[in-house]
Amino acid sequence: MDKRLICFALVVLLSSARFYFDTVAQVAIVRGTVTDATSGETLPGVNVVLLSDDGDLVKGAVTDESGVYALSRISRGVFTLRATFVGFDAWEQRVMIAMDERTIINIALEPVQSELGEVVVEGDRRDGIVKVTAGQTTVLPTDIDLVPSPDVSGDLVNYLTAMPGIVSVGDRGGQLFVRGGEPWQNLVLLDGMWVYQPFHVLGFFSAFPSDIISSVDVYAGGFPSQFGGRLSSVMDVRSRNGNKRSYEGSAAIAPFITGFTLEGPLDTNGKVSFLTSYRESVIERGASHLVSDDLPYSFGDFYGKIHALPSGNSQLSISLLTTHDEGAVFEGTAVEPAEQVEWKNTAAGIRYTVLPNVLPAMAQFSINVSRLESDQSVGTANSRSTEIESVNSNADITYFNGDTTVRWGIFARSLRAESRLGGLFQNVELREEFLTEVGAYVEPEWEVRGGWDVRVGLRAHSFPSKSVSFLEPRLRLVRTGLVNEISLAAGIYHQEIVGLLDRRDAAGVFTAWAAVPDGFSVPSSSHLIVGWQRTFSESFELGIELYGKELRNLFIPEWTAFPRFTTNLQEADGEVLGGDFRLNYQKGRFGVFVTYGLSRTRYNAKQESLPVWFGTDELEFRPAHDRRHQINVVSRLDTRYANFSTRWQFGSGLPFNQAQGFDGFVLLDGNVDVTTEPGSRRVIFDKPFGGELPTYHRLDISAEKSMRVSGHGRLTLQAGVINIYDRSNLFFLDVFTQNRVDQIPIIPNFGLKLEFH
Amino acid sequence: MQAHTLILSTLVAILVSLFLVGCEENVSPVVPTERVFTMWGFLDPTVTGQKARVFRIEPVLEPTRPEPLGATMAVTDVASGQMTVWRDSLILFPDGFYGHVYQASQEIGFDREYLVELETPEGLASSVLVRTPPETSPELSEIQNVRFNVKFRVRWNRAPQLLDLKVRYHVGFRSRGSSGAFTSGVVTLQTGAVETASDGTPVTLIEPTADLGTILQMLNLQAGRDEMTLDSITVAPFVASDEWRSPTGSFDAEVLVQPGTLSNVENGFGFFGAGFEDAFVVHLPDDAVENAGFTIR
Repeated sequence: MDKRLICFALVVLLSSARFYFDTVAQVAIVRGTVTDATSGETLPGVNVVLLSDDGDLVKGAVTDESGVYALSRISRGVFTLRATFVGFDAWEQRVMIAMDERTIINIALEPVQSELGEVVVEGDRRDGIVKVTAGQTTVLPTDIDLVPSPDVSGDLVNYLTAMPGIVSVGDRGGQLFVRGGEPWQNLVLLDGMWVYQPFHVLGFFSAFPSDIISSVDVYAGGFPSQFGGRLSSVMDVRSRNGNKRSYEGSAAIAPFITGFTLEGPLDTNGKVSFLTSYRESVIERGASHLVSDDLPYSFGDFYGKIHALPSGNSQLSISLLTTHDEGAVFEGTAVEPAEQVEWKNTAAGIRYTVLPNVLPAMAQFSINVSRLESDQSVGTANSRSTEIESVNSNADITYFNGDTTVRWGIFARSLRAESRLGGLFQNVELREEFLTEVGAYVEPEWEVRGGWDVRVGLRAHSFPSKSVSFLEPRLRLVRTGLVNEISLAAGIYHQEIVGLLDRRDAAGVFTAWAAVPDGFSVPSSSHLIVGWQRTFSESFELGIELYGKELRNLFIPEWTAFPRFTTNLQEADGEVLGGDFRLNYQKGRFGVFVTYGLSRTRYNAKQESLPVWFGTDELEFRPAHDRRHQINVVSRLDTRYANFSTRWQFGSGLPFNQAQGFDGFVLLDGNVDVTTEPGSRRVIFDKPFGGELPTYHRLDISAEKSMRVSGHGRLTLQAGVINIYDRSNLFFLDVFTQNRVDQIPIIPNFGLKLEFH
Repeated sequence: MQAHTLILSTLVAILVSLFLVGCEENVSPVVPTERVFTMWGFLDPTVTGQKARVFRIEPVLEPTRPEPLGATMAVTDVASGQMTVWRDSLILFPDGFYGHVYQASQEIGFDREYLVELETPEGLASSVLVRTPPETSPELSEIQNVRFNVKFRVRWNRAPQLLDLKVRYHVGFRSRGSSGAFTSGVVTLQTGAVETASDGTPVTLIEPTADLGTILQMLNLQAGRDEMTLDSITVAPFVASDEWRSPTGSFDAEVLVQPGTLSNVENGFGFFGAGFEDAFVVHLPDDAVENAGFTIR
């Protein structure tokens, strides 16, 4: 084993051991959960501080995604416990702490009473487009609502695609490429449940409507030890818990999609709540009449959750997610049939969080089941299908000790994967496979001199049936509290369960999930991220992040001059270098954020024929998703009449395989009779991915007006235009027939949402 | 001016510029090439009927249309200047698609150079210069005559190279113990190996003992129950011109399909060579026939 890895592992373990001995010392800890007093919803991001009688800060903490805070290593005495959060009245309580006491104090914050249209001054926000720390961005529903979308309720995917470094190759297909990585390299979680294909076939929608979201942590790279099994990114979506005090709901209708939400208490004690959300597309009956193009897409999603507070120091939630998608993403060519795809996600899970009375810790236990079924061209000769299902169980423990926190956990996962590809990949045989993965991680975090927060981690996981094991070091450094915030993240990642897809053009959607095929090495990646951000004033923030990513043992389709839908897989390595630039300006009722992503992705292929074809053992090329420049400008103006928002997005052209022409091929291996040997049609390709498609840009606008109705309701009217200057943005270029398929043209949208409580 | 105002102003200017730059919408998936035709075929000095498969290099992927190609193909003996014009034939192949095959009755000489030209009325042309192989003088170079291990070699003097080796076994067979006449048969196998002698001459290695089992199987005979005689062996390689070589040493369609990999056409693609099926008849002595496992008449 690498000596550097052994040294790193020792550092991690010794740091954790040091913490254990410190914990044995006689100090007290105060922990609890912060909730919204009116709804019972847990509140992440709340500032909780312990003040001395003189008003000096003794300890401070911020509630995590479950609304839990912990103040540890407190000496005995009398203090003031104070909680503050934007939009809520401050909360205070005198507390007496005894030696070695483990106290649980739950806090319920009362919302600030404000009139409609009143500007709420933003305080120290942890979210926002500029707030990226070592690759991590926190997204709240208020951020999602800034971006115009054809859904009056808002959807996470529209905000994600406004972030630098996240590339969508078009407005359909549901594929997101994060900092040069491919969609199958992204881990998407909803309350800890794995969601394999979370983005809907029409690119404006995902499995995550804004109405169900509490917060989302997007790790564009450098993600910490608790996450693994993916090479590129993590999107950790956490849902709301539902109102425990009263019933609320909404119904929304628009030409693209309709839906409703409903939440409320399941008991009279305010301890149990439910939350449901259902959406169904109506695009074929609605939006397709607003444009001249067919929009043959159908999709929908359902989410349900029950959340309970069994005791003052525990939480229990049960969640269920289902999605379905169907559509013709690819219309077919002279040699390839139309690609009618359909997929269904199902995920269900139980999660139990507890603050043990006897330990200064928080423990979270979860078990969930996730499943994806995906088909393409069912009932035809080119039919393909894939299924993957997994049962995931996790135990995650967080120990609090003053300025040091140790996170550790164990996990086990059993998977079943099966694909039928109809010979798509000629050199790969896929069979039904059952795999088990087990692993553990430990990640101590502590503050050092100079305001640095250091987090070193080690993740170990193993697939016993395949006799493979991996050791993955992780590192995160953040310096906060000063004018300039600096951050760094690094890590090594492996992915044994991979997505195989024919990406001879970026529009390909169907992904076969399988364990790494026999004869191929396990894909791995290394990340390095360095970031800087600064808040110049209350109005102006700026952030820059540079990143590099090395990808190894990827699978890509082999090139061939045969114009056919089957191919072989070959191995390739990749390298990604890039930088994100983010700017946020807010003045009164007007706000604008600008993001710019600069990225360079290169793959190196090692196909056997390369020395013969190009005189080189390896060939470097730009993969189909390498978008060099990406810009988003999102603005919002709140007036007493309505709220207006705009989004302008720009992307430089994507690479594609350009051809010189088409002819035919006959294998002349001897005495061949050319009057009876038909031969094959052939594509005379130029250098692989040597061409570049046109640039992409689009302006969307939206206006929204909310008004109270009948005292217990609110009506929101939304009107807008997608692609207001009707730019013909190319989605797919058929090299064989020279036909082009464009993305959605100018399309008006409008929506109506009625909320009641 | 405050820093953030300057930054915002600069950004607006950059964005407007990008907007204007990004107005181009057109893209061509095909970069036109000046190359005109793709040809596949070879000149054969041992037959009169010559043929060549021709594709026009097109900007779109479409099946060949059932209409004349409109191009003239001429094959000229460089030394004598004698030119023959080949005619375009539209062939309907078993896969249901049409193809253009140019054909002609033309005597092709051994070890002669020919210029093959294909030209459109507009003067766009592809061409290739081909040298036919010389006539060979094969000779039996050695016979290994060991019980149950008989093999022999044939040297193909003056042959540039050999492709596609066939071996025809001329046999007679009948049931063992029968007094009736032997039934004659010819079994053709893709067998044997091509070696290269130290002087560069191609040599074929034939192993009748190793082929015996296959011959019996193809004739539905059983050793012990039936008896089979060996009358003669015709070794029939395909003698090819020197440039007719795969860069990888084997003819793998997945490799050779890449344009330019096996290509000798000027201003075009494809390969046009020269070759012929040669033949050398070997009569093994009786003891070698018996050692190989055959019966002696």
